[in-house]
Amino acid sequence: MNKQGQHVSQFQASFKVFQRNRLAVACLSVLGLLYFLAIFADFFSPYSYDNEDRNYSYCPPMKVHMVNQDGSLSWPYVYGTSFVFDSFHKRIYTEDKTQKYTIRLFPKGDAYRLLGVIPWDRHFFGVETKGRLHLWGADSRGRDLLSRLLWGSRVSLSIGLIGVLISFVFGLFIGGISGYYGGWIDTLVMRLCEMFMMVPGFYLMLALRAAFPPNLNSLQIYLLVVVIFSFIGWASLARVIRGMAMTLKQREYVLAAKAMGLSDLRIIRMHILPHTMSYSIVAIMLSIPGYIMGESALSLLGLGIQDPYASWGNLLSEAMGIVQIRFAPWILLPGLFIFITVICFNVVGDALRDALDPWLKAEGQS
Amino acid sequence: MKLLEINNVRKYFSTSRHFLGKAHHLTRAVDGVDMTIDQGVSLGLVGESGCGKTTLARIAMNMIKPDTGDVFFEGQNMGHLPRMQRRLLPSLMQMVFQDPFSSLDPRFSIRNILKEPMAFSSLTRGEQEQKMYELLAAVGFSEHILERFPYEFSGGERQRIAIARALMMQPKLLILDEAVSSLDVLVQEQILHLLSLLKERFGVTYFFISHNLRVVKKLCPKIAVMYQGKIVEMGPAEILFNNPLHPYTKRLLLAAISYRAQNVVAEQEVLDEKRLCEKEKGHFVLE
Repeated sequence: MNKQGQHVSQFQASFKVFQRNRLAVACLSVLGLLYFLAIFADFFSPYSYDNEDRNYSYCPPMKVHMVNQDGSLSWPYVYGTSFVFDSFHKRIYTEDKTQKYTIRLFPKGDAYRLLGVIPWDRHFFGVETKGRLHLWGADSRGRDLLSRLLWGSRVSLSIGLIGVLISFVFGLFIGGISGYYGGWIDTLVMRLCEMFMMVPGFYLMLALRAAFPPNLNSLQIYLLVVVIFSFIGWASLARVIRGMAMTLKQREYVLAAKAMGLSDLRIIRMHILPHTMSYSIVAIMLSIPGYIMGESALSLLGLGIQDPYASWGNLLSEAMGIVQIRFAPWILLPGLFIFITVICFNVVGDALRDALDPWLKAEGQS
Repeated sequence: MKLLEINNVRKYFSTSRHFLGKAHHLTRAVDGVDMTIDQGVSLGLVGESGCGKTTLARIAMNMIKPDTGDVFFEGQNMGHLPRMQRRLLPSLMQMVFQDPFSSLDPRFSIRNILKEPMAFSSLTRGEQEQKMYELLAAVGFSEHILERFPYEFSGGERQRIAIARALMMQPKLLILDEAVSSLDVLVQEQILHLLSLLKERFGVTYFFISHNLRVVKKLCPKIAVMYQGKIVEMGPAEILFNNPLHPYTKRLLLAAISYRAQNVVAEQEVLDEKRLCEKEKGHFVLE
């Protein structure tokens, strides 16, 4: 209870502790922004993920100008670019000061469906279709890196979330059943878990991917990767949940529920699993980065999302050669995004653990 | 009319196991118990901790399967109940547990705690609400507490909520497993008083388990004394109190009066060969 004598729920109390951690709140906002951008990627990106112009291959990030050549202030604009080949047949891009393209809000561009339903062709910003805008440079085929980053974040960010949710549903359910029933069911399930945990995750991932045909379409590959991750991820959670279920089932309210004639599944659902929630939330937060990195690793090796579709790992695969890194360092940007996302999830997960800790402890003891 | 009949029930637990899974050592939690509870005649079961009272209660509740023996509820063998009837069991028999701090799920509001037993009830929503208010009033709460959570209540208050929950299904038999043992003496009095009122009002019979003779005497006209998994003496409360025959009963009675009692009667082993004999009408002793 607080000073006013009002009921303070567990959530409210934990939220207060969480709020005091400024870094975590900042990281949570960053994550929120990333997911927001990912959901509306087609609107916020100036181009579609496969809009290419070979004249802009490895075009470096364009400068945004706000001052005209005569010194007067102007709405932000970029110049057109032209290139010459140097002695190694490398393109040297220079600004073509005769062409000036103003960066406009809500210009017409590639058509898309907002949220998958509303057909639209306006983008958040961009230049008229004669010119091209590459704020963060372009890749080998002259596709806008910023646009591909935003499109790729859809895959990279959602795969972590969906994968984690699926594997947690399995982990909670299987762990709950195993711990609640005990006996030979428990032995069987736990030995199975250990078999999964025994195999190094990355090689299991590769083996599973190799077990499926290589010529799948992008949606199939996406689903396949999600399933592979869930397949690997459930075991470790199931083990912990099983341990918690074993102590929780001895609480008298579980016996009381049994005496009331409630079914076992209902008892697991109502009286066992909810008490593992604070642990699960923290575990979810801390394991999402693993999924994001796993997807990146698969795509980096060319086993995940295939070109022309974008994901952060897939984008990074272009940066595997020293030449690209030397002459077009901006294609490493997806790595920065992976880094930021992973750090943010870890910080938020740690802060959540601190915030929920009194409850974790209280539930462990009583 | 016989409500609950327990016939030669045994339950052994293995305390240590061979590495191949063979039991090394057996604890005889319940070792050949016979007893009956008649409709309207509450039975008190007394015994020291670890004598098998709780195991017996759980066997009676059909939560543990006995190794041998049968339990009959209103003449029906509970071991061989068809599925449909097993569903009905909770509405005939309910249980209140020892620790009021752990018997209510801390994540459930009082409303949800009270609603839980009604999951299979045939009552309509309105009737369930009605029933809930009636029982809350019966255990001395107003309906304002419905949205509150268990941690906001004291031990005695929680136990009252647990009793209300157990009575939601209008059981005929209520098993109280050390239901007042963890409460302080004054709160014990309150709860015992409440229980005696509820007995009249809802026509429920108690199977009251305690280690405390004094507490049992207040509520139960009939008392059974349990020692090392066996019933050593059973009979009407006055007779048992005035004329205890078994040495263990004597010790218990003395212990209730003074601390020196332990030395008065030497430790008595219960032998397997002994049987319950009827000394006078309704008064049984293990001999």
